[in-house]
Amino acid sequence: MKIDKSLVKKYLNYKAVDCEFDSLIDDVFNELLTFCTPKKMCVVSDCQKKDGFYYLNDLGISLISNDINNLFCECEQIATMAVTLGISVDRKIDFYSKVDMKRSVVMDAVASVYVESVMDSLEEELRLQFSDKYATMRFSAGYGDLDIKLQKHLITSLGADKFLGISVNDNYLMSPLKSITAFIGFSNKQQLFSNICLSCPQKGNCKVKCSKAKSF
Amino acid sequence: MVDLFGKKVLVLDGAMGTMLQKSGLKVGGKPEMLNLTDPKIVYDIHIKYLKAGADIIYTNTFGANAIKMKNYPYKEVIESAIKIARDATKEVGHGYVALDMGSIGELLEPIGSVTFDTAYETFKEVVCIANDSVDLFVIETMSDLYELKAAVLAVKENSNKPVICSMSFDQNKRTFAGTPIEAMIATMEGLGVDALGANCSLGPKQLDGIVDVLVNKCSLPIMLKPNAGLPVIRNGKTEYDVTAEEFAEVMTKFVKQGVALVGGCCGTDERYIAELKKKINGCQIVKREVKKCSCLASGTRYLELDSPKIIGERINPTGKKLMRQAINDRDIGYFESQAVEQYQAGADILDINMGVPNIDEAEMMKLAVKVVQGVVDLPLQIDSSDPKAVEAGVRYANGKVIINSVNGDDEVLDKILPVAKKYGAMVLGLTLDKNGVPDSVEKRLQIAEKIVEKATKIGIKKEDLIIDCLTLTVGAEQEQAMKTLKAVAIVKQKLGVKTVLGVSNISFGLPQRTIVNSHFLTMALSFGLDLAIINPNIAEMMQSFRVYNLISGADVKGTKYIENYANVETTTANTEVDCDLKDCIIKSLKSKAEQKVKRLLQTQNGLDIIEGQVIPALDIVGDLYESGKLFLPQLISSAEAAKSVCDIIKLSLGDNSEMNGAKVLLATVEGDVHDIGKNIVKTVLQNYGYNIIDLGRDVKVEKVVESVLEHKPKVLGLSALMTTTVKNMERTIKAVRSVDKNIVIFVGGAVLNENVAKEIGADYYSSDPRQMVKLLKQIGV
Repeated sequence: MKIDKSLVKKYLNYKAVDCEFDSLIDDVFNELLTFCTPKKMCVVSDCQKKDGFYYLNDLGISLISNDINNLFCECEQIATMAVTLGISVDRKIDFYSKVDMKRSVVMDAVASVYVESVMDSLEEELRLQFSDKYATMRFSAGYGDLDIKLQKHLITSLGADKFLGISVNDNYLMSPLKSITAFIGFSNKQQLFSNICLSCPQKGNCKVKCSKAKSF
Repeated sequence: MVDLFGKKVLVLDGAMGTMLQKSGLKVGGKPEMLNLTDPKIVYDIHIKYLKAGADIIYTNTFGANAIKMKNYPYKEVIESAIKIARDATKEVGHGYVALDMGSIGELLEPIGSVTFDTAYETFKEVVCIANDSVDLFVIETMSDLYELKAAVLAVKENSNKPVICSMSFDQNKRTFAGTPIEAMIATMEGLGVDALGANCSLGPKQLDGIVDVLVNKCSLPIMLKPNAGLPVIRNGKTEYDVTAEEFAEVMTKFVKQGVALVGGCCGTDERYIAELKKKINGCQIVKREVKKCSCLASGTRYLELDSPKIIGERINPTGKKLMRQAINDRDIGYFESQAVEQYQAGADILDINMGVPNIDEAEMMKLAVKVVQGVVDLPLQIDSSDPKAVEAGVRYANGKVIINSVNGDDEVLDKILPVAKKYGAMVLGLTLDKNGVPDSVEKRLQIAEKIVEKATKIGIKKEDLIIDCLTLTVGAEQEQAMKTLKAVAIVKQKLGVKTVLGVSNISFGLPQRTIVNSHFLTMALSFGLDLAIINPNIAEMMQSFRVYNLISGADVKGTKYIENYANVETTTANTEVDCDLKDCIIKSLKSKAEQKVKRLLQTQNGLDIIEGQVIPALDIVGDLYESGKLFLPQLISSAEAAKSVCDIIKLSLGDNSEMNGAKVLLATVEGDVHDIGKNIVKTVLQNYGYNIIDLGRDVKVEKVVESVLEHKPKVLGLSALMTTTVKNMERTIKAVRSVDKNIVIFVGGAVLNENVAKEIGADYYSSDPRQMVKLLKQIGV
């Protein structure tokens, strides 16, 4: 298994070509793999419009967001996904912050890239499973106008608290820190899904515009 | 009720959530609210389980507590849930009602922000509401051992009803929070729960390994309530892969291994329980042989005392000036560094002693325990002669600990032994009494016998006792050294308890103490010593210990010896081009920088070295960072090299306060737990001589205000990563300004910029530590 080193460096704003630093990233990632077992889950729910917004029948969740309405236009099903690297990663990053700050910072970035890759692979699995349908891009609570407050309800409805050990605090922060939740829509009809970047308030001055953002 | 446990196989009910969904309830929302809005649905589920043969039903109260149901009428929910369950048992004519308690849903300190006391009070409230009307309590689906401990104490201290506990384990035999099964067993047996086991997370087919550990190590009745297999997504829906018949078959196999309480969790319904009842009909409780063992635990570590172990002695002010100072200053960072150093040096257990005059020792013990277990996961030894401090330490420690100490004095035994019994701690007994340390082996044995007798009388197991035959100074009482060693051997042989010695006392007053200590350690281990209290940072002590374990066979195949010494570099001639201290810091050569500064300190003043070499080096690194020639990881490495240098200089200056620059208070604001940025700022500022008071992360507004008033810092630095927590930053700034108009407030974090900083009332925004240093210099701080 490999980690996308260029993305790790991007997070660390590390612009030099440096073999020593590359091997540090590899070393940290290999260490991470010794104690971290990522977990993932998803529920694909039929959905319908209720009061103008998507409602996920199986989870009892309303996605009150115009961005979702635009992006997930005419979707029949929406997948709700959650992935986590587990609390041992938080602990290790914490531990290194006391004894080796550099390693702590690198591990934090490596873990961020890793948890995203776990979410990517879950998304890929779903796309394959629903290859006869058209899939939207991924969208998470806190993006655009989809309120991050949804996170609490989402985690309990999905059972990610019980099955993945994710909890959400009063400020809607998830624990373990390296956890992601996201939605993806599926439709029988081909349509032009708009790119979230176009409607983002940071458009034009985004420093981390994702190289992977695709037009659908 | 409690008499039933372990006498006949009891059947528990199946899932509540699954049944509610089958009744048409949508996932999500608060299923506990149905106790008020649609009690008939819940009642019918109880009836189905009772008719299927359940002996015990769980109330529909899994999430009914003040935290999880903050804006709901949880008291009424609990009362109604009990009434519904009770009505169902009356209707069917059998069954016990268990008050079901799940996790509060937020993580406890140190990873989360909920305090142990808050968790305890939350569970206590539920227990007090339910106590008069239920038959027993169930605490289930727990992941964090610390939270489980809070819940168990809430039941034990506020009710006489039985309590069953279960945690959710993964196939690696640990919970999501990392608690191994053995750590749960060690801790919960000690706290005196009535039955113990596993529920949820896995199906019965995945439980083999977990059941093996439970039946071999747990002396309490074992309960199992697995899911109906593993969840599989079929057509986008979560389903479970085990049928009722398969479920009952595997569960019956476990009953034959010795499991005493069986039921089902997610995915199971009344068919699973009916099948289970049918299959186990006629099964008797299987008697198990549980191996007695002495063991300790932390939240994520289990330690069996089956071979000699090291207790690190550094977090103790006796004879340690810096530690005494740290306790007086509540210097959390120093406690952390001592804990981490000993952990890295190879300690198995950490002693914590906060015995400094004129402080609230109990409060300090609580703080130290929380700090230490926040950075390392070694089991602890709570060391105090103050019963209040002992209880504070044992209460707030996660896992199973040692109490150090009792002795042959009745007054001490009567005060401390009940605390050990209540919390299930191991007890260290000193072979002395009011008359002092006896000079004969026989008299020491007599005191040990008395301690063992008194302890076992109140229910403390022999395997939880450790006897200290006391090391006396060989320089003053030479004949006593061998008597101590002989006493170790005899106590161990005659009483069958573990033994401990504080090793370094032997050499007091002698030159080259390490030579004496390390050899005495080897001798003591040969006489059967189980636990050695030493400074693990002294390489020679750990060498003696590891060599003894290698030769005695305790270190099987020499794994640990090889692990520790295979890659140790032998000293070779230094062929590298020499560079000065400044270069070492710029190039992040930490160990070389340490060597350099030690040499420089022989001829130069520490403060001159900082001014002349450390600060200029940091400035150069800062400039390189600013111009994009160096990057964050390198900036951090240089800062860490500089920190090591400063630490050595600080040590050489002793209590010299000249090094203390302007006070800077740092905190990550309430609700936010991202503190990497703040920690980097701390490291860099410390090197520039600023006196940093780090309040940590998720710091409440009140705590920041309180600290501003207490420490009167010139500068306050606040950090936040999330847009949701910037509002807490604003609240903090407002509250601080109301008590201190002159304080300079810096803010930083991913979601901030200069505009936001101004909007929320901060004086400065700093994007990185380098910028903050520059700004501080500009404003003359």
